[in-house]
Amino acid sequence: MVDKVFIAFQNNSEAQPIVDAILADNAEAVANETPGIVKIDCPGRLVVRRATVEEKMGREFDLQEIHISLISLGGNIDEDDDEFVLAWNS
Amino acid sequence: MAKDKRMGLKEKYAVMTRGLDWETSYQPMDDVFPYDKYEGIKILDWDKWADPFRLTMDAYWKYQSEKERKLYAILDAFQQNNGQLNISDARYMNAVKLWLQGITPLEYAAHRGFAHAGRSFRGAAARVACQMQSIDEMRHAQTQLHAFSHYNKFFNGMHGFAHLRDRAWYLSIPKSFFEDAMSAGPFEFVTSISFAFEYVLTNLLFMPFVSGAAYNGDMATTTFGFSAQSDESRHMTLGLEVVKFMLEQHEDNVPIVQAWLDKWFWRGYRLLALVGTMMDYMLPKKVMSWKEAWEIYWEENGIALFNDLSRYGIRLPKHHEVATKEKGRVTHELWSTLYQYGNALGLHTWVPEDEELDWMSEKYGELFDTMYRPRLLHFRAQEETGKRYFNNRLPMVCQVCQIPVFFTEPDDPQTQCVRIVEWADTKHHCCSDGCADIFNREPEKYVQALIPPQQIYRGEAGGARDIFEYAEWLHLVKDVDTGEYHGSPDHLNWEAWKAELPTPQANSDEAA
Amino acid sequence: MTVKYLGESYEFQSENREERYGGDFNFYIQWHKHLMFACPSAYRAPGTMIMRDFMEQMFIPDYAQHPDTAHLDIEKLHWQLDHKDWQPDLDKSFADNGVGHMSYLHIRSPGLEGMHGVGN
Repeated sequence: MVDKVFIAFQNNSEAQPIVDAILADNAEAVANETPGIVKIDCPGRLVVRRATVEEKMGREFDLQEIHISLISLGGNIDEDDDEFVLAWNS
Repeated sequence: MAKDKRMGLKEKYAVMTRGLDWETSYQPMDDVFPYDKYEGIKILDWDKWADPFRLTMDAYWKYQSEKERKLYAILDAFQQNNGQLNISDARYMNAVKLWLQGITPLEYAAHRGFAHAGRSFRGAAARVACQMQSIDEMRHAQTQLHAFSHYNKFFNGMHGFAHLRDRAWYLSIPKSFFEDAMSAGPFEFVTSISFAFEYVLTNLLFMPFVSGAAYNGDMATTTFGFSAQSDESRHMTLGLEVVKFMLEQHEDNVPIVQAWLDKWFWRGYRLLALVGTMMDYMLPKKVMSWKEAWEIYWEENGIALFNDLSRYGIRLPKHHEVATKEKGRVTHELWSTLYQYGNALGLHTWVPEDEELDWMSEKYGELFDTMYRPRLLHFRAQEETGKRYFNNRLPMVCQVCQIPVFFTEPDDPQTQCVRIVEWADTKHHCCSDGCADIFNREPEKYVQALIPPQQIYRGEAGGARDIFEYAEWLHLVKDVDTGEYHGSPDHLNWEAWKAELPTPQANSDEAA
Repeated sequence: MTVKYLGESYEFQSENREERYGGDFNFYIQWHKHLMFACPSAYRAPGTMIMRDFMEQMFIPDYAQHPDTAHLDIEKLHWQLDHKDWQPDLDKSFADNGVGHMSYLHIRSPGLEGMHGVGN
């Protein structure tokens, strides 16, 4: 079984386009909601693409803006201007 | 691809975290940075340290100020709209008291600890990361105090958190945790707090518990909790990076890091017993049981992390299987402990309502039904006949985690677990093999621990001769700040305030 | 193993050393399968205290809230001292029975196994 990475956001309208973008770009991603939180689990690797978030949001987006609504994550991070990647290497 | 002529993220991070420092020439570097070698960690190239978020100071200030604006707008609205009346039940407020008394001082301790660690590392990128975290932690302490100050106007037990933190037996648990970390070297400190505590374990605090605060109508805690947690995800990332950095720099670092992971996993797990108990017992409306949270955040997410580190020769922390064996009982055992020593607590305790007991049966199954439910019902029966149960004899306390020794044997929930350790012909007691291992690794450190019941018996707690005089020394007022919830001023005030409220509108979402 | 430290030495005395008890000592007792009492209890007493006096004047009042306590026969206890089987002479003092600073006493009471059949 491949270990899952996860990323969690505040469950609000600001984070919704980011969540939508992740679900669109990662076929195996599953969103789980508890009060106030949406946690997305995905086997092995998960990517947040700036272009997809911008499309969902309808404006320019700096990937570092995810810090505003990010709650937690699990996985090794690799971030540049266009992609934020979470992955386990094992 | 960068959008304009500005530097890309990687380029900007390199410019703002490299070449900021210099090799000292008047004084040897080892004298300028005396703390970053004695632990035995070998660093060949500090420039290999990288923050994967690549957050630079300019971006840090920008996003932190945005977070603060959002947080304080909500806190203003909360205060102006009598937010204290929107919580599910006044019993919930005891979770807030425990947070204020036990967790907020840790934020301040973390501020101090990271300031010290930042000064200690000779690599500039490591210093930048520690500086940001030190500022974050101060922010967390301040925003929590600010948020809770509103509740302090309406509920008891919140008047002297700093005084309590230095004196109260149950707060020596979190206090000693951080003091153990802060009195270690900078690499152990960062491993303990950023990795073992923040990466591996604080998800259990900030995810299910803060979600529970949201579910129980506590807008203040939810707001600062999530605002803080957005910083925590950066801290967690720093924690994982520092561990990988040490492991990649030199193979001799591997056994040192493993020993720290063994120690701090266990210390962190023991500390979280308090959080689990808040989740299971102090949230009138339940989101997730401690057992479920353990299964998600340790058995799934935590073990995934250790699987990832196995390529460096790191194995799962010692005694993790004991922690998993205890997942069905630790919160029930701790609540029973808090309940009976309630005469010296700055919060109230109670027997849960029937529907809460049913929820626990559903979540915890047979062991709850055969063991803990009858125990709780016995307590309830005693209370109903006017003989509310208190244990006024001081308990044995673990020399390492400082938790009263209430845990049971890993394979036998009917037998208490006590381990005897010795150093220089003096005996001490531990709650578990995990804590005994930690003691035996550094006995000279732990024999110095100030254990509250021993302090009281030696006459060093203001001369208190029993639990009631001790509570006075804590500045706790009997039955106002301490003891049973039912019939307490908090309880009676709450009933009176709710009776005054207008009947909810028929179209209200919460018209229950 | 031992603490890694900077400086010349790392030597500290035990915070809870016996000399701080003004001639008394600090010890602990646990009653097996009576988990209504969450933890072993801590005591301070003089080493000259007769153990029967301790049981009758301190232990039994402290544990009075348990329904088994009224039936407790202190002559029929199974004792352990620091996890080893042991039979004290209740008419002698702690010191004469070999109980000292930071001793851990453990008692079982056959026939009195706590409440609810699970040692509560």
